[in-house]
Amino acid sequence: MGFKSLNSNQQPNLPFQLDSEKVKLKTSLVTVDNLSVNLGDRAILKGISLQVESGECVAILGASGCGKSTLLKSIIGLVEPDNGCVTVNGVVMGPNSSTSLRRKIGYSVQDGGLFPHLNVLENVVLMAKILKWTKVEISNRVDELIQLTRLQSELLRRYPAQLSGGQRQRVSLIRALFLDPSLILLDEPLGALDPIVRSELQEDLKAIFRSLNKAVLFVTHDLSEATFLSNRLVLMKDGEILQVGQMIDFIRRPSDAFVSKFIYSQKNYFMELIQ
Amino acid sequence: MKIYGSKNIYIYNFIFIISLIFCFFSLHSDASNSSIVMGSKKITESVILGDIGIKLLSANGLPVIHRQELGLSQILWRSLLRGDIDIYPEYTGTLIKELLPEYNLKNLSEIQIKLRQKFGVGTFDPFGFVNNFALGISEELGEKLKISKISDLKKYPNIRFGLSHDFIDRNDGWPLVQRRYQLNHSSVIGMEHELTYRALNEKVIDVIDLYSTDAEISLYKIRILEDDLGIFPNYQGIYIYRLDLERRFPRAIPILMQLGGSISQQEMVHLNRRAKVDRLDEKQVALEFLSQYSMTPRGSGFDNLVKMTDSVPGNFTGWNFIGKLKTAEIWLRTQEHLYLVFISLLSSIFVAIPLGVFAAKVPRLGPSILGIAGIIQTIPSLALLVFMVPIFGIGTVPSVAALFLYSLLPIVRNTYTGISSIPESISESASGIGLNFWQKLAMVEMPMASKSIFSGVKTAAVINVGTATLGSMIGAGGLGQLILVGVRKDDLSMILQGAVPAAVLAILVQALFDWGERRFLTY
Repeated sequence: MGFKSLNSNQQPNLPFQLDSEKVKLKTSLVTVDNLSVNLGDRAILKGISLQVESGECVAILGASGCGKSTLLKSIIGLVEPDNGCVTVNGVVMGPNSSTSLRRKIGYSVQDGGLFPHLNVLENVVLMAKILKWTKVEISNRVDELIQLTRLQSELLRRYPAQLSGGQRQRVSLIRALFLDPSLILLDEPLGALDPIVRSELQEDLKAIFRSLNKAVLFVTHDLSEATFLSNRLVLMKDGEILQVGQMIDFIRRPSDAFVSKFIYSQKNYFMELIQ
Repeated sequence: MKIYGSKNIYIYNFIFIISLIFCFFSLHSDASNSSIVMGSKKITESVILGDIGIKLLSANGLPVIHRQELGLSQILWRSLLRGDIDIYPEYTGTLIKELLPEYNLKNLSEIQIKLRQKFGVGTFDPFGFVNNFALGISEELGEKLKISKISDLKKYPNIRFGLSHDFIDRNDGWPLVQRRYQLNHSSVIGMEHELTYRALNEKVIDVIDLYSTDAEISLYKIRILEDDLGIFPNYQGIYIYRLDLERRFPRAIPILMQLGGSISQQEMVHLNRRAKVDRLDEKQVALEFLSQYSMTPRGSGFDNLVKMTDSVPGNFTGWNFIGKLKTAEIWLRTQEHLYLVFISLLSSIFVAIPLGVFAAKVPRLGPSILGIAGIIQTIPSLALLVFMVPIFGIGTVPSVAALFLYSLLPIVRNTYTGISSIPESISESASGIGLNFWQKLAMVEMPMASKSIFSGVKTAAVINVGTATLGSMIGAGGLGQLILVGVRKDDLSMILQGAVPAAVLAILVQALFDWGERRFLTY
């Protein structure tokens, strides 16, 4: 393929000398180290540590306001940490980090975050055009991704306002995947969808994640979705990680009363699982 | 889809603004050195006095320009000090009370000394008339009751006063008269000044207030009562001029000097009557006056003068709306008007949009920027124009500058709102997919804010079309010129010929922008 891809074991050229303590061994693609973020005098994240390996899919679970989205924003460098740090591919992320680093991360927000003044095609190819990909490269990549995400090609000329919620999510996903990033961050990718569209898209996402074999980090409050899509769950509460592991660990060895409470609150799914 | 070289756009903007500023200054330093510039106020008497000087100088072969209809004494005074005009007719009372109140001047000789020493301004001898506050009584009644002085009024407690509201209210008006002359009349009614003359004529009232050179004095045969206690300030008509005129046009000085003492009280009333009641053009009134005297030097000058008098057609203007449409002048004034609006709007767009973006991007400074633009907006438009005179002189430049400042707020505010109302999810997506600051601004934020910005520009344009009518107060021309002259001459037709095109222009501008919005801003 002609487009630029970032090999995960390739160290980018850095314009500065890294503090060796801040850079973990590059075994992990994403390293979140003792990360704290405050908004005014409110602590949003309190000393989060997490590692994500290449090829795994991690679901971040938790109730609204627990800091899930802020964690994603910190990883892509939209939020300045008050303490600790995030490194992606060995590079420290933050609002001052180079935008070229962000281009190696795919990011999709809850409602898709599509630019309303651009049509679908213009939305997804915006960054590639800026990076001066050739027409052929761009059109190949578009074809590839609309197949992968099963988006009808006649939607390419539509504007975001003319799309359904599910279609918008697919477009947003195409945009996130366009530059072939090594890490994909999805904030509530299925948040605002009705159940039928949702389960359809869940299947598709699972297939996509499997076929890409990239690191995926996604935020959800839905336990069944998390279990279905990910290999690892991270449960957060009030800016802290309560437990990391498989569903079975959460049931058998809950680290905190809240873990059980959170699981049992989504009883329907739990019953299904028991059966 | 275009990808803009965003940095270049800003550099071009900057160069453009700088070159605009240079244009302003080069426009500004125009022909004023090669001719004598006479200024006059937007009152008929001042225009006549200006035209008298103009005709006299040009009959003697001197190059002259008349900048008339300048709004306020302050504007003329500052223009004189700046050198935008060389000479203009003023009143001693205005100099003492309004222009130089801080010096507490007492009389003409103190004025003359102060002007010469402090401001480099010279004076000729007063024309000979005074335009004071005065009380008047019909000639008939005055004769019958033997009333010739204000103090005579005390003897007739039943006499009826009809006074203009302004005169009753101001401290140096009726309250002063009552106190000093100890008048205790019970019949005093306030009315519109225009109506007092008619009421006097119909003998509904007996005594009115007036200015001592009003044209109506001669029309209605009014006797002016002598201010025997001397309580009213003295407003003697007088030319004041820049002293450098003596060096630049030494010949002009003795010529203008002849006008000192040449216009009596009755003469000024008569001249005002010719212009205001008989509706003659001021130029012709000036020629009529000059032709009575042989003030001009012997020979060709005077002959020219007489010829000019003959060639000016009678210019009676009645209330005929259709017969005397000044198509050519309306077109000229419309062009001037559009020029003022266009240049000011264009420069405002180039300054206000970056300012609005800056306000939205730097949250700490945003409120201050909007606040300052808001404060400018609250300055009354006329005052803002007057502020511009000391900086830019008179004419197009200060008007454009004032209109420019007026356009800032709507554009800055709408740019700010347009950008700050972009949803956070979209803004974060833009950064998240890797757009840098300028790319995000050019490709996401500006396009998304464009509707709001566009409507800000539309608001500014429509406001400007209206406000530009005031530009004529400081000599910028435009449709306001027709309105000003119309108001001064009490000529409704002329007012309409200025006001209707201005209103139509505002509607057209609005329609043009609405069309542009539908045509170009669709997403």
